Amino acid sequence: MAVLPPGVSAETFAAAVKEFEAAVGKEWVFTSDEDLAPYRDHFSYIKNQPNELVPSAAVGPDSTEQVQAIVRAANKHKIPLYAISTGKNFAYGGPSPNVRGSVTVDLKRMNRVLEVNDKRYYAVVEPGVSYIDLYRHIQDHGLKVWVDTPDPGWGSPIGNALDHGIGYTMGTYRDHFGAHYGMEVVLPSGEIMRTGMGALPNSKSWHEYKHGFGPDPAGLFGQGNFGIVTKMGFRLMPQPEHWRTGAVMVPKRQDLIPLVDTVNYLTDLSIIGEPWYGNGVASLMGNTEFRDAAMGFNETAMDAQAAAAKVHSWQVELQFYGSERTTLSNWEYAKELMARAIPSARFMDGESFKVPLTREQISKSTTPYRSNMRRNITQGVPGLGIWWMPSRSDQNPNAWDETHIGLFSLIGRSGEAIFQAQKDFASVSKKLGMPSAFPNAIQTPVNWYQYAFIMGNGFGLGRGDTSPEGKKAAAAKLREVLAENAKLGYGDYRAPPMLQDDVADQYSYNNHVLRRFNETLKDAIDPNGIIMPGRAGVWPAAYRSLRGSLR
Amino acid sequence: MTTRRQVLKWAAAASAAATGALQVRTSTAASRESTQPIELFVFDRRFADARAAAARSAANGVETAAFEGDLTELWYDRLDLRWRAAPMTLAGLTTSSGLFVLETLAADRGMRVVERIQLSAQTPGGEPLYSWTIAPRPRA
Repeated sequence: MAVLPPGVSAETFAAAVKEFEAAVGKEWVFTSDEDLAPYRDHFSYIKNQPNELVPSAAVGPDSTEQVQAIVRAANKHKIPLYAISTGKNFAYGGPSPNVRGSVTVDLKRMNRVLEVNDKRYYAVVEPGVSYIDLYRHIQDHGLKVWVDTPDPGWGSPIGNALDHGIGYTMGTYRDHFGAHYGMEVVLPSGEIMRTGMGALPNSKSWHEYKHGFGPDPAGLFGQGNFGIVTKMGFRLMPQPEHWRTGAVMVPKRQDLIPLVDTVNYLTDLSIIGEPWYGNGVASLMGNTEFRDAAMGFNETAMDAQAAAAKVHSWQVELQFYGSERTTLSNWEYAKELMARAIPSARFMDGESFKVPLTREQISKSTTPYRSNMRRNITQGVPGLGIWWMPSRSDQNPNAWDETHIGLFSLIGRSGEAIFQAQKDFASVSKKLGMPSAFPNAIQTPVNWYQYAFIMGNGFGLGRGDTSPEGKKAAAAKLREVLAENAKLGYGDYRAPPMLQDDVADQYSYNNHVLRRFNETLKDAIDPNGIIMPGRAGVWPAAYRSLRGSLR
Repeated sequence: MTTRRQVLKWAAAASAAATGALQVRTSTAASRESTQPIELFVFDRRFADARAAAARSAANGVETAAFEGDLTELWYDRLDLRWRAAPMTLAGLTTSSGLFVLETLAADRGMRVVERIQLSAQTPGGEPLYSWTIAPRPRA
């Protein structure tokens, strides 16, 4: 599959490859189909199609200096680069670039843990360090800190933060880009820049005060294409002494509103870690009468049937970090607040463990109620177990290797916002003729960010048809969902490359001024447009004609 | 010396005995000419075919490593440590998702899948099982 970057001749490409080889060594420049296979998006809707987003080559630097040399060579020959940390963001395109024929800059060899400070609670890593690597370093050195990990945890803290990834412990740490403190970047010119206090030579607080002085451009590198990040600092959570859980169950659908209000209060006082919401009525969805009520948002009927079946409408599992005594006090306080807000609420004690938990305590839940919690990630322990998720199921019948599985939209952090999103997403689903039981009146968000929720929608696409035409139709349907959602005020927070233009199109306030602002900066900072052109819908002038070319 | 071909033959035999003939075979030029010894047989112990193939491997002196759906502990405790030291040749019988995790991690350590065979055997959920070999990638 010989692929060249757009507008680049075979001779120019060969000359660039020679310079990459001179920069990193011949054995770290890959051009064969077999060697490039790991750099494809195995879940792509356009896999094996003529427009599949495959690289022309991959190059593996071992140092910031080698990254600089690669960037300079790319500028000289006008070769588009696409940097990956570990390339395992498989839900959002994995390692594949936005422009077919880009050269992948694989940063996996830059895998040094540069510092972990368990007194001042931060770490500094290179992009090739995975969460598992960092966890192992912490364990091997007996450090009393946790790294807030996504799930699965085989990706890179830098890569995950740069794609605005999320975690599962306390709110401060769950926003992985928000928890970054200071980065080092190779700019499109090949220069090295440090953000925040790192701009001050010999700074004593690079990873403790992220703003520095003056405008802080760090945000440009999150989902951005303004440079290649080669170091980053992160805040780490102190390892607590104790972990406790408890569940709150409420009987009626409308009880979700005071339930979320109360949980928000506890969250913003840093009393609880991530809340895990669920419902008690999912088991009733096999009952046609209840299912019809849930699909039709008939709240009175839903409440009546839940009461008859003696199941609660909603549940939230709370988790407390601290000492045995403080976690108990906080749980008692949470129950007191809940009882005030929802007199009919019921409570159940969950787990109460000294930290660190044993592997058995992590893997075998003994909670007396049904828990949705994936426990390892609440303990800062990265895992691979969630890889069951892309497996074949009713909602993803085309098997793990065929599709991206959904869209994830930001919604407001309230019960009212959840109810509105349920109805809005259901109306979009109905309008577009999507044959799915979701969304419905029992759906909860899939993630409970510190200050917003993330709700899944757009499931069930491509059902049964994995032909190229079927996948194309499914992708077109996803684009329709995005457009309809945007009309209702919902936007996605991440997307695979093939949908990034479509998501970016929805962020169109004031005639796309945000995109125009970003592209003005892009053209000034990266005049040849070599760094990840098209990422997040930001196209440099040299490649701007490719905007929307995957539709 | 136990070779890749022998291990694949055992896996195929185990599957064929249970459910019939092989369906799909993918191999690389490297695998066809390869006789490298198998250092480890990895299997998902939830499945009888995988257990049977592992028993045959063990009887022939090949070290085995089991997991149950989730590769985390096997990876963290054994594979990561060994692969950090040096790439190796290993074979196995898993689901496609198990193989995907392993081949993705193996790619980070200079290895790649040189043969994958989709077996007729399926999990109770209808997922196909795969017999496969991962081997070091030749250096330029």
